[in-house]
Amino acid sequence: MTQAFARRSSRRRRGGRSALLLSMTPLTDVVFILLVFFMLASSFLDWRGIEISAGGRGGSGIEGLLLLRLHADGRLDLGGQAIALEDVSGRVGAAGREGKAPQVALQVEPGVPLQSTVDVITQARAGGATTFTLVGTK
Amino acid sequence: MRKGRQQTDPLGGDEQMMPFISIAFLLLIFCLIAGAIESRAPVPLEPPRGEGSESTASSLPPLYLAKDGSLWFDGKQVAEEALGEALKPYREAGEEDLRLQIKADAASDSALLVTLLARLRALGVAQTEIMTEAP
Repeated sequence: MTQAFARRSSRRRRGGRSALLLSMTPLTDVVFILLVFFMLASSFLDWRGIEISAGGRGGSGIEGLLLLRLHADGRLDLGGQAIALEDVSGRVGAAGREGKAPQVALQVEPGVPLQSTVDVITQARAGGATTFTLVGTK
Repeated sequence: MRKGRQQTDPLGGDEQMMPFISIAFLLLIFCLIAGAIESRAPVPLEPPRGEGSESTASSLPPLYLAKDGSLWFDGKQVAEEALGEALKPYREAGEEDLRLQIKADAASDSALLVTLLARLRALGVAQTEIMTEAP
């Protein structure tokens, strides 16, 4: 019994480190498979949400809201007055100072890309608007 | 020569792989932390860029509005008129406050969204969010 143990331990000593250390190849394979999986399955998009509701037909149900009209040719007006996109936050902010948090209605003509609408909403949000209603022209 | 190398490198060359494996590990950790696993969009989509708030969790799958105006829900294309049918299982499942995320292409027509929002409201969707990509 003692002799067998001594034989085994001397064999282990003779075998050195290589007998005890594991090969790195299977570990590398697993890491690479995980890496490829996560690179393909992961999305790095930082999604944000803008809460929006629909107004009634022809712009009904938007009484008392700040009306921003977006035209298909890129023009923008606030309550019938032409306005630049950069001025939206200031005007919305001024309306907010007069009373409670401004509520904005966006009236969009057919052909207005969503990016333009989101740009206006981003500006209005900077001015303190929190509620947005989207209405059509007819 | 060969014998000498074996004596100094007990792993038979594996140690030379260590920097490579370290980089793979770092990339893996980066993907785990920075990325989020989500289902792929059924249509190619370029989301609009804009500020929004942290999205509230929704139990419904998102509704996709493609550049060409087509609607996609739960991996399938749906006509606007058939949205009620598509949302039916969620209403029947006892969802009280239906909250829907709309992932629309930046180039899609905003006027389409007006009719879509009105239809969703008529179908009992209490809250709708337009999803944007943070700039």
